[in-house]
Parts: sequence; structure tokens; C-alpha cells
Amino acid sequence: MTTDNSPEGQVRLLAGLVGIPIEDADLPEVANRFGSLMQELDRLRELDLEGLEPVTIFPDPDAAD
Amino acid sequence: MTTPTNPDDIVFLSAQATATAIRSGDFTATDAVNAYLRRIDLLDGEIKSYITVCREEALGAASDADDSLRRGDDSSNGALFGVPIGIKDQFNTAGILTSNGSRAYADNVPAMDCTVVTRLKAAGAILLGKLNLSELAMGGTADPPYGTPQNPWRRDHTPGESSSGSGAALAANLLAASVGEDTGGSGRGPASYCNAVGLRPTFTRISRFGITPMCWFMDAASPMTKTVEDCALVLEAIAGYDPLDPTTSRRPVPNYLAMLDGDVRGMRVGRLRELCDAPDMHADVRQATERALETLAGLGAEIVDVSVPLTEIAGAIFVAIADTEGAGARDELMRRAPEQLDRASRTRLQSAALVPAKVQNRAMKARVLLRRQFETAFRNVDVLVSPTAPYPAPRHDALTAPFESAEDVRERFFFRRSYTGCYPLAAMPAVSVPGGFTADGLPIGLQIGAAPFAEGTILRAAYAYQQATDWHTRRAPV
Repeated sequence: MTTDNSPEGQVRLLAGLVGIPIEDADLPEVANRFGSLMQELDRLRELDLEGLEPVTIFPDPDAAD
Repeated sequence: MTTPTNPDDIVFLSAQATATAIRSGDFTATDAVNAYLRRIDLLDGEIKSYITVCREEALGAASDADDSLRRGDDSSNGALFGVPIGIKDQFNTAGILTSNGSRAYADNVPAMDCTVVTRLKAAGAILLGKLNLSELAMGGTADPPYGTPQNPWRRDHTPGESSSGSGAALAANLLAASVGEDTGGSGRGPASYCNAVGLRPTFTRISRFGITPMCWFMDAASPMTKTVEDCALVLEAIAGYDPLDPTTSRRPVPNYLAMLDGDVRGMRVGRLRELCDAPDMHADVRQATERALETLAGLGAEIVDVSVPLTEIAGAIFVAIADTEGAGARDELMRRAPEQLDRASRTRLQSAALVPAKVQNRAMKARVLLRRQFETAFRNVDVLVSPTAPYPAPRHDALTAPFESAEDVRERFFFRRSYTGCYPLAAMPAVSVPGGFTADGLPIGLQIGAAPFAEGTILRAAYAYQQATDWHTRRAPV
């Protein structure tokens, strides 16, 4: 069995592993969206994110009780 | 504007002027509702801003309002007394379809109102109907089940996403005021493309109870109006602690309207460099923004250049967080019946579902860093100014066409989202106000942001700018 290393092939493989059904007709667009997002977020590697704690809601220290 | 002699002209009044005129007996709430219903019948077959028009309910509520005024009940004191409004169809309304713009919710009729609708009604507003939106409040819907909303300023152009119906209905005067929802710019974007006012409040300022979520830690109800004064009125009516949404702030709600004094002398206004100097920005947008800054300077504000570096890639950070959250929330739908979703929504959620956890975690940390960069900026300025969008309303097909390459995604998807996505990421408020027009007549939005809970400062700056310009008085060619 050969491995499909195209962006569509990689997305098909990933989707299969996480159990997300993707029709063949949608594969190119999903691959373009996913590829672009990964490219953009690659820029975050340059940042010093050490010591930052992810939060979903920022606390409001001035809130009244 | 003085009280219109032609009843059909009631629709051109602001919400504030409508409430005042009804209380004064210049016309009745029933007159106002009928004026809007006639205009909806005349125009909305083409504009497609409404999904559901609540004709009988609105006329019934208007009759009740007129009766209460005759009796002198306290209810006629509400800030939005008799004002016909429309709500994005993402907000639950008791006994009325709440479609979320999706075939997957075609039978969704909630049992109770969301808190926003409850509070609007308590302030005297009358629900005219439920407004069209991009599917699941996401954007880019290729084949909307309730029709493609048209931009009244130019047909075949988008009125913005995802509160598309709110923007289109405001531009066409099919309601006096609206509440949309703004997770990453869905209220400010349509306001920008439709020459309206759209406010994204501080995340915890308005209850999210009964609003279908896209990203539960960034979703926010968004007052969308014809004027800054109306925005202040609607915000004050719906803001405040709600036990049904424990994340809401217990801070008191100020009298925002009273803060609109038109005086910005001494206010420190930051020119948000990364969003004002982007090389790919439309030249007319760039020029309008610089002129707006000159206008504010002319009013006595102090303009300073400010850098918030991460705003440049805020669009991608936003998508990495909000879309992965959305994909998780829609996981069952994506596995069971993906064909019920529009192609654009489906592929967007599917791509988000594949984002590795470490990348999503890095985006979450970058969000905290962006917040710190904004906090640093707001130690030196009161507000930050930028365009709301780097270009005016695009044609529909520029939003809905499948992406041809990763670069195409960056240009058509991430670039614009950085402009509005930066504030929700930082959990900070921002407004879009009419900021001019392109040479060929499309609206341009001016975005003004500030520190958490500084909505009053934002609206004060926006009001001063509005009063110094006439953009908000121009009418779309419908």
C-alpha cells in the first residue's frame, strides 16, 4: 500500500484517524483551509510563550460581589 | 429628524426618536409597526434580511403598547418603548422558529426567550421578526437555506457576516434597531459594510443565555443600530448580570446615553499601526481612516501611533480557537449528517476538527499574549482606532467560492478576520461606526476599541465622531 503524501491525502488520513467523514468533493477545500491555518499558526513558533497560561475567560479583578 | 408627515417615513427615524415620538403621541406604536411591515413587504422579497416576520405578534404587542400609553402605565417609560426591532435568528424566541440559518435547525422552536429578548421586551421593544444569518453564525455560507441577503448599498455584494440580516435590514430601514451576535466580528463586520453601528461588548457584559453558541468563551450579543445613541440605548437595555449565565459580570450597568457628550478633548486616541498600515488594504479605506483620525484630532483628541503586533495574525489565532471549539460542539452533527451543513460551514468545521491539540494550545497562549499587548497599549491611550475591515463589502462570490489554495485562504479568509478578531481574543470591546464611503459608493467602517468595560468611552468617541460627520445620515439606494 502506498502513502498519499498530497495535502488531500494527508487530510484524508487525519480525518480517518479522528473519525470525521469527508467526501472526496470536499477534500481539496478542507486541505486548503487546513494547510493555510497551519502555515499561519507556524508563525506562533517564533513567539516567546513561556509562562503564559491559556484561559478561556479573563478574570475581572474589579467586579463587584 | 422631526416627526414625519408621511407615515411611511417613520422607518427613517432612529430608535430613540421613534420611542420619543410614540410617547409624545406624534404617532402610535401600531403606526410604527405597520410602517415597517409595509416596507418589509415592499423590499424584503429581494433583500432577504428576514427569516421570520412576526406580523401578528408585532401588531399585538404594538396594540398593547398603545393601550398602556393611554392608561399611563409605567411600561411606557421603557427606553425602547414601541420601537420595532429585529433579532438575529441565533437568539431563542419562545414559540418562534430559531433556525441558526441552518437546515439542521429547520424545526427548532424554543420554549422560552433568551435573556436578551426578555430584556428588550422589558424595555418596551417590539419584535418584528427574526433575521437572516450565515449558517451557524460562521460566515461564507454558499447556499443559505433562507436566501442570500443582499447589501442594500449594492446588490450582489455581501451585507457582511454573520449578522447579515441585521446589517441589510438596518441599511434598508426594515427595522429601527437590531441585536446581532459578534464572536469574531459578526456584528461589526455587517455594520461596516452597511453603514450602520455595531458594538461588540466586553465578553461578560451581556448574557449569552439562549443564544446558540459558536465559541462559548468568545460569543457576545451585539447591539446593531442606525446611530451611536441607539447603540447606547440598546446596550444599556440588555447588559448586566444574569443568573442564567453565571459568566456575566456583576458590575453595574452605566447610563451609556448620558456619557455621550460629544467632547473628546484630551482623549488619547491610538492609531493601531498594524491594522492601519496593512499593504493589502483598499486605498479608499486607508484614506477614510486617516481622515477620521484627523477629524478626531480636530475635535481635540490627541492622536498617537500604537503597535499591537499580534493583531496582524489575529485572524488565524481566532480561527484556531473559535473554530476548533465550534467543531467540537458540532461533532455529532459532522459525523451523523454532514450533508445537512452548507459546503462552506462543513469544510470549515472539518478542517478545524483536524487541528492538533498542541497547535490549539499555542494559539490559546498567543491569545493571552495578545491580551497583554492590548493592556500595554491601553495604559497609554483611551481608545484604539483602525478600519473595521481592510476593504468594503465584497461581491458574494468572493466569499462563497471554494478556496483554490492555502494562499487564497489567507487572502480571502484570515486577512479580514484579523481586523475584528483581535478584540474578542482579548475579551475587549469595540464598535464599528460609519466612517465614509469608497469612491464608488460603498460604506467604510471605522473601528474604535478600548479596555474591558470601557464601552462608555468607546461610545463617547464614536458619538463625537458621528456628530462631526454625516455618513450615518446617508441612505442606501433602495
